Order: sequence, then structure tokens, then C-alpha cells
Amino acid sequence: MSDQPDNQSSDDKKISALYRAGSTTRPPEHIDQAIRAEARRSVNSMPRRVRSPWAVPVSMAAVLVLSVSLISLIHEEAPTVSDIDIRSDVPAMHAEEMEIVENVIKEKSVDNLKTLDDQVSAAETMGMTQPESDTEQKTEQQKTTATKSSPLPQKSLASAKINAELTSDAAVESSDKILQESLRRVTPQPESQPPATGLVDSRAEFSTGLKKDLGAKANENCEQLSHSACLDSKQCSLIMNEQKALICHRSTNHCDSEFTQRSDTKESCETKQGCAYIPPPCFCPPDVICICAGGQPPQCQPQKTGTQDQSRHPMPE
Amino acid sequence: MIHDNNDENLMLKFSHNGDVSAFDVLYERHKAPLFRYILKQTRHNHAVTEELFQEVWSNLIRAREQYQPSARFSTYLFQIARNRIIDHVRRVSTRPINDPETGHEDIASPDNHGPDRHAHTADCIEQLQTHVSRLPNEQHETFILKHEGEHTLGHIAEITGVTLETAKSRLRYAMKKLRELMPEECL
Repeated sequence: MSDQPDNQSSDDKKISALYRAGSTTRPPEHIDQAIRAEARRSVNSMPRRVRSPWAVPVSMAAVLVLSVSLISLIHEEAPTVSDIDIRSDVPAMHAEEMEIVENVIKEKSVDNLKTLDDQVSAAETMGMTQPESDTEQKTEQQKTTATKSSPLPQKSLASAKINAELTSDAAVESSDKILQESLRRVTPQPESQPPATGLVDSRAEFSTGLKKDLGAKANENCEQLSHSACLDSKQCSLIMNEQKALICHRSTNHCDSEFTQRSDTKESCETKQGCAYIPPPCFCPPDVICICAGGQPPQCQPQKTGTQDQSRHPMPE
Repeated sequence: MIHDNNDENLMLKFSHNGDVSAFDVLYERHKAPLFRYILKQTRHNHAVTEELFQEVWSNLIRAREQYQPSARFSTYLFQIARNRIIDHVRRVSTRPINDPETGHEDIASPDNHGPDRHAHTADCIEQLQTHVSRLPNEQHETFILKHEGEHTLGHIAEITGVTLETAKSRLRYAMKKLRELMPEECL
């Protein structure tokens, strides 16, 4: 029994050896050639997909160059992009405007006090006795108050006299509102300022003069306004010149004057007779980040007949 | 050196890089065992063997881009060949390849090839080939795969789609039958 597996194994080896000895048949030569030729034809007929070792680095470099070019091109062709940082300039702009307003207030206060002095002198001449020291003291207080724009002192005799010359309390209130509005528009923190109720005696006159002066200053300084302030101004218009640059220009007609480009609508423009609203095709306000930019802001211009495409967009020299 | 590469790397070079020299090496390694496998599976029908042999390589060339080196290349190649043989047998309906019973009845007498006409070894080889060709189909196929393609039993099981135990059993029966049929002077 123990010899049987050994014999089987030996016989199996002999059988395998005999079989392999007889296995010499090979495919004929013409079959070999046909198959090899088919392999070559197949490879040659197919486009080779061998990649150059430079393919990946070159394609990456190309993508990088294209990206940088595209970004720089976008940067150059967006004129309002730099204005997006306008918020950082806001304190400086307010400081400029505040300086203008303070100068106007000072000038007006000095003029007003001179007028007050004259009127006090006239009152004294007319016999309205009042200790000179007291009057001077009041005047000094008023000077100080006017200069500092702080709450006013009590009515003096002179101011009572002047007050009598004012038309009515309603006029005073109206002037006061205008003054406050003017201050609110040019000051960065309007609510935190105390109401300009000083110089009660002369505030109507003072506020009227101040408003006129502010208007004049604003008209004179349209070109000095920032784009953002220009959009909010009723006297100035932000327009695009021939060089496709936005400039702040003084309003030149009844349509664009009193037209606030930022907030006024088509209806508010076209309620004025003969005025047409020109919508902003692709305008982006300076303190806003937009997808589309580069166009001019909305305009309110007189309607023209005929070929008016160019005249609808006044280009200042 | 390309001759040092294993079959799978050569096939990848051919299929992905279009390297024809890699194909030449593969073909040279496998053409003879594959030809003999087909020849013996077709019971020495040379015309059919050449046709099937060419079809197998054509299939391999056409489908080279689908090749995945998940199995041995020779296993892949012999699976293609086996499928072509089965298709052929079905087409001509000559001899069902998976009928184990028919093989027993076809075993011819070794007297047809008498030792008088040949030398001793040559006669033994001829007798063995005759007995092998008359083995039942599954045993015959297993025996051929074992001795022609140098396949392990695991690879044979994979090619023929059976379990390892079945392949092992088929080979054992084939060897037993050959031991019984072969004359003692040949062993």
C-alpha cells in the first residue's frame, strides 16, 4: 500500500514526460506572420496616445499665464474697482466737507456778530438802557457760542430787538430745519450733534445765508466731490467724459439739477417737463461691489428730438 | 530588457503604448502551447485549429484596450481560446465538449498503432497521445491545460470555470486512466 502512491507519482511523471516529448507541434509560419502583421496594422491604425513628458508642466504653465493675464486685464478694464475702497476715504471726505462748513459758519458768525454789535449800539442810542458790561458779556458769549456751534445763551436785549424784526416763528422754524438739514448732509454723525439752535435771534438770517453759501460752495466744488458724494448731490451730476472717466460736474439744466442720481427714480425725473431719464446700463456706485461696472450713472437730461444719441450724454470738455 | 518583463507588463505595453515588440515576445512565448491546446481540443483537426488559433489572437489584438492585469495573461489567453473552441463545437455540433460519457466510448484500441512501426519511445508517445485524445472532455481539457500551458490547478479551475477541487479531481481521473491504458513497457 505504501508503495502504491510512490508508483503512481512515478508513473505520472513518466506520462508527463512522454507527453511533453511528443508536444512539438507549432503553428505554421504563415499563421505567425499573419498574426504579427495584424498586430502592427492594429497599432498603426489607432492614434497613439503617448503623452509627451512635457505635456503636464506645459499645460499647467499655460493655465497659469492665462489666469494671470485675465486677472490683470479685468483689473485694468474696471475703472471703478479702485473706488470700491471708497469707504476708507470716507473720513477724509467728511473732514474736507466739515472744514468747508466750519469756515462758512465762522465767516457767517463773525458777520452776524458785527451786525449784532451794530444793532446793539443802535439800541443803546435809542435809549434802551442796558449795562454796557452786560451787553458785552452777552456778545462775548454769543461770539463764543457761534464759534463753537454750541447751545446759545439767553436772549439778550439786542437779540430780542432783532428777533422782533424777524418775520415769524414759522420762518424761524423753517430756516432752522434747513440749517439742520444742511448740517446733517455734510456731517458724518448728524444725530450726535446738538441742534443748531444757537443765535436764536439771528438764526433765520444766519441759516438762510449759510444755505446759500453752502450751495455756492457745493456748486463751486462739484469737481472736488467724491463720486459717492456727487451721486448724492442735487447740484452736481456724475457723468462720463470722452475719456470714459467719471467726473463730477455741476448740473447745467433744469433736468439734472435737483436730480439725485443715487436715489431719484425715472418718475422723479420725468415729472419735470421735457426731461428724459437715461438708465444706467452698467453702472456700479463706488461704495458697492457689482458684477457689472464701467457705465455711467443714471442721468436726467432734456429730451431731444431727432438723432440725439450723442446729445443725450453730455460730454464736458 | 523587454524579454525580462512578465506577460502582464508586456501586454500593458502593447495595449496602452502600442508596443508591437512586446506583442512579439508574448506571441513567441505562448503560441506553441496555445496551438497545441487548440489542436488537441479539436482532436487534431489542423484546419480548424489554425482558424481558431488565428481568431484567438485577433480577439486579443482587437480587445487589447480592455485588458486589465487582474489575472495572469496566460489565463486570459486560454480563456479566450476555450470560448472560441466552445463556440466552434456548438457551431459544427460535432462533439459536445462537456459530455464526459462520450469520451469513454471512443477510446480506441492501442493496437491501431502497433509498436512494430516505430521505435519504442516514439511508439509510447503516440500511444499516449492517442489515449489522451480519447479521454473524457473535461479530463482531456484539464490534462492539456496542465501539460501544455503549464497552468497550475488554480489557473485551470479559473480558465474552465470550475472549483479547484473539481479541477483537481478531473486531473486525477485523467492520470489514473492513462496509467491504466498505457502499456507497462512505456512507464
